[in-house]
Amino acid sequence: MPDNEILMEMSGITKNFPGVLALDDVSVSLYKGEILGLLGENGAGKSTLIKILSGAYMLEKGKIIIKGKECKFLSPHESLAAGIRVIYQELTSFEPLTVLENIFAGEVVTNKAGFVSWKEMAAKSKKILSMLGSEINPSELMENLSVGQKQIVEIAKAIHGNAKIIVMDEPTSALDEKEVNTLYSVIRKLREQGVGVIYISHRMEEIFQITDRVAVLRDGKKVGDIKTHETNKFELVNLIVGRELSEQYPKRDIKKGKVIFEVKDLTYLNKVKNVSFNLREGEIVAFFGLLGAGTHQLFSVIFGDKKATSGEIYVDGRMINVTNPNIAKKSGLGYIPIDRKEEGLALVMDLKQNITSANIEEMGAGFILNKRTENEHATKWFNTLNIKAPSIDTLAGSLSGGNQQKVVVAKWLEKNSRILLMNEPTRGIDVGSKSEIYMIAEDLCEKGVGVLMVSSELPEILAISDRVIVMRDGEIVGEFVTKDTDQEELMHLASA
Amino acid sequence: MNDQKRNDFLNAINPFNKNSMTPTLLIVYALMILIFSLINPLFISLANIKSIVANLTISGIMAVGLTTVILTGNFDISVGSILGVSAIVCAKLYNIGDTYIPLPVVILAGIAVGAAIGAINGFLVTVVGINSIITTLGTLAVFRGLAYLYGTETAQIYYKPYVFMGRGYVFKHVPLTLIYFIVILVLMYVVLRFTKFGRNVYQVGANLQAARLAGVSIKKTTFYTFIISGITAGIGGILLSSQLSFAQGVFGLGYEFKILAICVLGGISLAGGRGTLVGIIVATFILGSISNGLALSKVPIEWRDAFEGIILIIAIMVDSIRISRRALLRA
Repeated sequence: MPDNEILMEMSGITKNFPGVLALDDVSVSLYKGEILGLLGENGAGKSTLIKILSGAYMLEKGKIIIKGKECKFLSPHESLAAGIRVIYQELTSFEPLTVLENIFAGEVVTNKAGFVSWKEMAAKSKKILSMLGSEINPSELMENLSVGQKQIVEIAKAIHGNAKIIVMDEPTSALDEKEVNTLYSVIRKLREQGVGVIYISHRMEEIFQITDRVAVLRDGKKVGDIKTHETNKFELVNLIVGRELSEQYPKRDIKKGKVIFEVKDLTYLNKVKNVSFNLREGEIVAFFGLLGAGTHQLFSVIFGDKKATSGEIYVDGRMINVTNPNIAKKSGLGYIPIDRKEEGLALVMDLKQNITSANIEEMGAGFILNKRTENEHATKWFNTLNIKAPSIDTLAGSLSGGNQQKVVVAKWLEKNSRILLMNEPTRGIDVGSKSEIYMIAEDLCEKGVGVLMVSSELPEILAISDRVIVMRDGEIVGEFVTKDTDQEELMHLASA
Repeated sequence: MNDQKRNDFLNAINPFNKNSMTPTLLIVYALMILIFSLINPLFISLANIKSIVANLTISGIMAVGLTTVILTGNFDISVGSILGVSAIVCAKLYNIGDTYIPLPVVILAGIAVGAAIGAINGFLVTVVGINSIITTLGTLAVFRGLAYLYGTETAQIYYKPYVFMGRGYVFKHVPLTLIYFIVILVLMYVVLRFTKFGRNVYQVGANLQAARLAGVSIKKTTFYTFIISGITAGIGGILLSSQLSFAQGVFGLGYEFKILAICVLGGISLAGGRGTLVGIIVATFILGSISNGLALSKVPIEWRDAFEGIILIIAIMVDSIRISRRALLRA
């Protein structure tokens, strides 16, 4: 349980960006041995707050007091020196180096002669790792580790540097159930040692499992600061979105039509094995599997990003030979990839260019690009999907995650895709945008589109899909009508 | 509203602004002209201006072609060698015994040589999948060798219309080559801005994987840009041999440096996907005037190359700052 000693206090923090008040008089404190959940929609100010704490942004107004001493973090270096470590969502490890070298990156231990003391570093890193309850070999190469193990190495790196405060930004987004549990036990160990942890997550269940207290930000203001055991999911969601979400996931009863898409015995190396399924008009079929189950690869193969080893794919009963994404697109498929920044959007291009990118063929006659047509089409989706941005000429990179995802969706609506593949469509986006994405999916279903979805969030699958297909080790191990199954059954099957 | 106007103005002249560094370049160019003409008034004499313009257009034309390649996130170092081979081929066509070869055929031959080498580059980069810098470093050497092989002896050109093509003037003072430069530039500007191919060029450079998943044909798009770059280098070969009325194997040696400098200075981001041809005009004039201005200012020749190098480094520095700002978008 948290000590009464205050580790860190941020008070009256205000941050202005041109045109936006990112943080408005926010005060947050952290006690010794406490796990503080930091909640809020995308754009609520969480990352700005963390960036001020880590020295990435300059403190303009307000105070940061660490262990009774006022700090002005002018650079990331000063923040590190004060014992603050941030573990970002995208890990920053050195892949070709060993675990040991990663843990001691930037702070190599030397002996009296000034040479690197490998022995001492090996001993130290072993000690740190075992303290964290991990059996990772310090001389293993970083690139051979799983994402979960890498995260633990990052934590080891943080605590060897005497971290007093560790900030974790969506640490579980790429972890499977087992790794999440390991991570939790590591976090709890940190708590016992008096480290303060700021834990950022969009997943409600995690907040209730791991945190002691939660602070909620909305539109740059702090709107809640409650002990976790004194609140509930309903209250937190309301605080986050600032409105009553009576039904977070709206599932409509939509009539199913004929089979529009079918996959037979699809195999890709040893990652996807003999997968067969079909999809009807108006239907949402979800794929569930833990990391390495092959669900992501399955989608890549269906869309032609990777070439199938064997198997057949049918659209409207006609076999198609998908050797590249262009063929998939022309056959009526659309693909919302898992990583919108790396695969979904051209961040340095504007919204209209992104929205029309998959349908550029239709933007004018012959090889001419008709800007007026492009503007009209882009504006239509910009308005329909309620994308929050100054205009269609805004750069995609300047939008929040939820709005970026809407742009990716708009791209395929513009292409008029009849079979939409959504790979983790709501990963890392806020509650409000989430339900908007679900709404769009259902609107599409009403128009006869079929949706295939990969999701690692069971509540999402249970709420939105018509059927669930569970995969394990590249194979389909079960198929259910969604309303006849539950979380336990699916999880059990996926992890058995 | 006044604030708004001031912001707009600041954005317009800010070299790190997302839209353009052209206004900054214009200011730099104006200062340059002022300084050079104060040191030596001959710098702004009509004769000198004509000679500067006639000289810079070849690099300008080649920079337009290279721009398309850089926009896709690739690079073509072989442009100088393409120029060399194209020049030799054209000059040789005027030295085949008594055979008379019509002008259009010679011009087409020069362009075809460029297109063919561009196609080889494009094939190696897209189909075989070799990194474009390595590929064109290889073809740079291969075709330089070929140019030397067939250009050991100077090939003279006595055919008047061919020479006029590069040396002639219209309206008394306007070099023909300037007209070619402007025509090619406008043509490529339209292609990049108002065609689907042009949009795809930007898509590929801005985010390759996103473009691929949007069904954009990466290979086709990239392949064509190498052909365009090859063609403009081929045209460079035609014009240089025409201006000098002969060709040698060394033609175009080291040009890749100058052409790259123009592109980067003109605001074409080496990371791909960003920049417009507008900046290329100013950049061409700046780099084209500099060696002339330095010569008239009695700066020793050894220092002139160094000067161009410094400009390139500064331009790349500005570009890398812009790229790192762009990386912030991902954060």
